[in-house]
Amino acid sequence: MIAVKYGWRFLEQLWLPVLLIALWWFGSAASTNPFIPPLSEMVDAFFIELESGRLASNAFASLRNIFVGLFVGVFLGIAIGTIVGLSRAARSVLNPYLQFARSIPQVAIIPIIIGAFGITAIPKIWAIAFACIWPVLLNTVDGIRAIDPGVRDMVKSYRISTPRALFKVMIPAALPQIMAGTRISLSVAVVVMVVSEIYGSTEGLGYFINYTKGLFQMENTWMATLVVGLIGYLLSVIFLIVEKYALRWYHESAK
Amino acid sequence: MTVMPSAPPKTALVRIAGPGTPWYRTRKGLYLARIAVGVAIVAIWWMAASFRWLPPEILPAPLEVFLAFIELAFTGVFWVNFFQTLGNGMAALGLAIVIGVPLGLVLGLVPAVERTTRFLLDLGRSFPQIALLPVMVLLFGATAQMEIFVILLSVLWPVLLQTIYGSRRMDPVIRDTVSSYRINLWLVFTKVLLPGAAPFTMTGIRVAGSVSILVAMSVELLAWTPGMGSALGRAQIDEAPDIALGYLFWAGFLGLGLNYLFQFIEDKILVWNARGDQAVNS
Amino acid sequence: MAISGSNGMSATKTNDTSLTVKNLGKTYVTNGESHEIFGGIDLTVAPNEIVSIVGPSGVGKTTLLRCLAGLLEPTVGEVWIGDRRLTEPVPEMGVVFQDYSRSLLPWMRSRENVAFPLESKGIGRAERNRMAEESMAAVGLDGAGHKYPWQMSGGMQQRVAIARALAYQSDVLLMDEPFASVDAQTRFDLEDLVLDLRKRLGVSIVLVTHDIDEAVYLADRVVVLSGKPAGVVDLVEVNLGKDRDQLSTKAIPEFAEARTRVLRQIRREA
Repeated sequence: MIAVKYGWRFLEQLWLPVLLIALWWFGSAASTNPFIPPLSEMVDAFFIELESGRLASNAFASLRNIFVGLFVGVFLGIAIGTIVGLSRAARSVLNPYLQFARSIPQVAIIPIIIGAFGITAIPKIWAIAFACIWPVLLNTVDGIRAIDPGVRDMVKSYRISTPRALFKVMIPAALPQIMAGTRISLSVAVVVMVVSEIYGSTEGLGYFINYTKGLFQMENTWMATLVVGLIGYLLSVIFLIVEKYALRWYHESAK
Repeated sequence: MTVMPSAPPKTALVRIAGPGTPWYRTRKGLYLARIAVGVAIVAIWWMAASFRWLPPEILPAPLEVFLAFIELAFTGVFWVNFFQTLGNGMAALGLAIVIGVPLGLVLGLVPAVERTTRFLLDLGRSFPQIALLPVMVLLFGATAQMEIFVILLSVLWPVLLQTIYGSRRMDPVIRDTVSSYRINLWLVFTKVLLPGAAPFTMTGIRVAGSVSILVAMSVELLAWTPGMGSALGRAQIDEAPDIALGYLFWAGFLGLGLNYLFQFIEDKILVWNARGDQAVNS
Repeated sequence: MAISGSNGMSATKTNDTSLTVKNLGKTYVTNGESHEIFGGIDLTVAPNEIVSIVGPSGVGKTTLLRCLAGLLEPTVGEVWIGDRRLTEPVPEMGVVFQDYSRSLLPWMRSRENVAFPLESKGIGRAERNRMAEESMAAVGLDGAGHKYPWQMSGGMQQRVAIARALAYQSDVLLMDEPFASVDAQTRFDLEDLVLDLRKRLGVSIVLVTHDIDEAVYLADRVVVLSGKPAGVVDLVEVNLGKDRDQLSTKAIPEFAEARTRVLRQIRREA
C-alpha cells in the first residue's frame, strides 16, 4: 500500500516534466531553424560526445574547478567568519566592509583575474573561491553570533578549552547557518565557473559551449547548455541530501 | 527551516557614550575603528601595489583606482553605462514581480499543484541561467532586450519561490474564514493573500534586486551588450585596470545601495509583520 | 518516576570544600547611570550543606549565582572556594542552569553531553564514558545515554544537566532555578534527587529558586534576598534533618513556620 502511495506521489511529480519533454521532442522535430535543432539531435550529440570523451573531459574540468574553488572558499569563509563572529567588536567594526564585499557582483572579478593571470584553471579557481567566501562568511558570522548565551555559559563554567569549544560547540551550533551559506556558495560557484569558462578558457563545459557555437554545431551547443543546467540541478540535489544528513539533529530537534 | 543571508542588517545600536560603555559601542569609537580598518586596508593595498606582490594588471595603486573611481563619475559614458545596467536589472525585476507574484500566489494555494511543479521549480532555480547566454545571443542577438530576458530568467525564481512559500503559509484559519464568508476571489487575492504573503515576497524581491545587477553585469561581460559589465571588460582589454576596478567599486556600491533601498521599502511596508525575514531556500 | 541509582556512584572523596562569600556586590553601569543590583552579601556554605537562595523575581538571584560561579566579576567583595580566591570558573564547582534545553548540545547524545566537560580535563575516552554512565545512573537515567536531549522529556533533560555537573567531580553544585521549567510532579522527584545526591555523594549545593516551598524543603539554610538594591534580609536555619520526604516533612509545623517567615520577609521588602 505504501508502495502505491509513493508510486503515485512519484508520478504526480513526473507527469508534467515528461509531458513537456515530449512536447519539446515532437515540437522541435520539424524545426527548420538552424539555431533550434530538434531535441533528438541534441540527445544524439550527447551520446556521440560522451563516447568521444570530449564531454567527459570538459565536464571533469568544470567540476574540478567548482569543487576546488568551493572548498577553498567555504574553508576560508568558515575560518574568517568564526573569528569575526566570536568578537562583538570585530563584527561591529567590520560590518560595512563585509557588506560591501558581498555586494560586489562576483563575476566582475573574472576579467580582472583572468586578464592578469591568464586563462588557465588556477585563476578561475581563485575567482570561484573568492566569490564563494562571502555567503559562507556572512552566514557563519550570523550563526556564531546567534549562539545561545546559555551555551556560552556552559562552555565557560565547565572551562572547556578554546579549540575544543570551537570545533565541538561553536561550529556545530552554527552549522545550520553555515550549510545555508554553503548552499548559496554552491550556486555562485556554478555561475562563476560558467562565466569564467565562456569568457576565456581552453577547457570546461563553458568553453565547450562557446567553441561549438563558433562552429555552428548547434546541437552540441544546446546539449552542453542543458548538461550544465543538469549539473547545476544535480549538485544542488546532492547538497540537499548532504545537508539533511549533517543537520539531522537540527531537523529532529525542531520537531 | 533554512535561512538565507539577510540584507545588510541595521547598524548596531549605538548609545550615547557614558562611563562603562565598551569602545566599540560608542559612536565615536566605532567610527574611529572603522576608519582605522579602512586605512589599514588601503595601506596594505598600497604596499602590495608598490612591491608588486600581485601584478599591476590586477592591482594598480590605490590612488590610481581612487582617481579613476572619481573621474568616472564625471564622464558621460559612465552614467550611460550605469543606468543601462541598472535599467536592465530593474526592468527584469519588474517583469519578474508582475509574473512571479500572481503565479506564486496561485501555485501556493493548491498543494497538489506544488507537487506537480516541484521538479520544474527546483530545476529552474538551480539551473545556472547564464549558461543559456551563448544560445540566447545566437537566437536574439546581443541586444538589451535579450539581456533583460536572461536577467528575468534568473530573478524570477527568488520572487516566485518566496511568494509560493508565503502563499502556502497562509493561516488555514484565515482561509476557512474567507471561504465560509464567500468573499469574492479578487478580494481574496488582494486583501488576504497578497498582504499575507507580502513579507516573504519582499524578501524575494530584495534578493532578486541584488541578483539582477549581478546577472546584468555577467551578460554585458560575455555578450558585450551596453552597460557596466562590458565597460569593465573593455577597460580590461584596453589595459586600464584602474578604470576596471573603478567600475567594480561602482558596481559594488550600486548593489549595496539597492540592498539598503529594498530593505528600507520592506521595513516601511511591513511595519506590522516581522516574519518576512524567515525565508525558504532560494 | 522512582529514583534509582544507588548503584555505582558514591562519595569517592570526603568533601571539605567550603564556599565563602565576603561582602559581595554588583553594580552595572549603563549610559552613565549606575544600578546597584545587590550589595553586602555575606555567606558561607559548609561542606555537605544545602543552601537555598530565595527572593522575588528580578531581585538579582541569577546575577548573584553567576558571581559565585565565576561567570561574572563582582564589583565589590570576594568569593572564596576552599582557601582559594575565585575569579573564574573552577573545577570544584559545577553549574546547572535553568534552561537545560539551551545548555545541552543537541548534536550530542546525552552520554556525550555528560562526558563532554571531562574531555577538557584530559580524561581518556573509556574513563570518560564510565564516569558519564555512573553519573547518569546516579540521577536515575541508567541506560538512557544513547538518546539525544531532544528525545527526552524536560525532567530527564534536567537530570542530564545535573549528571553533567556531577561527572565533573565538583564538590559544590550551583543550581539556578533548575526546576522552574518542569511540571510540579517532576519537580518533586528532582528535589528528592537533590537531597539524595547530597546524602550519597556528599556534595554541597547552592540552589537559587523563587519557589519558597522548594527553598525550605531542600535547604539547611535559606538566604532571603530582597530589596532594591538587593541584600540578605534574613537567614533562616531549617532544622528538619537530612532525611526528608515530600509528604511527612511538609506536614511538620517547623516547615510551615520557616516558610511563613521567609514569605513575610520577602513581602515586607517588596
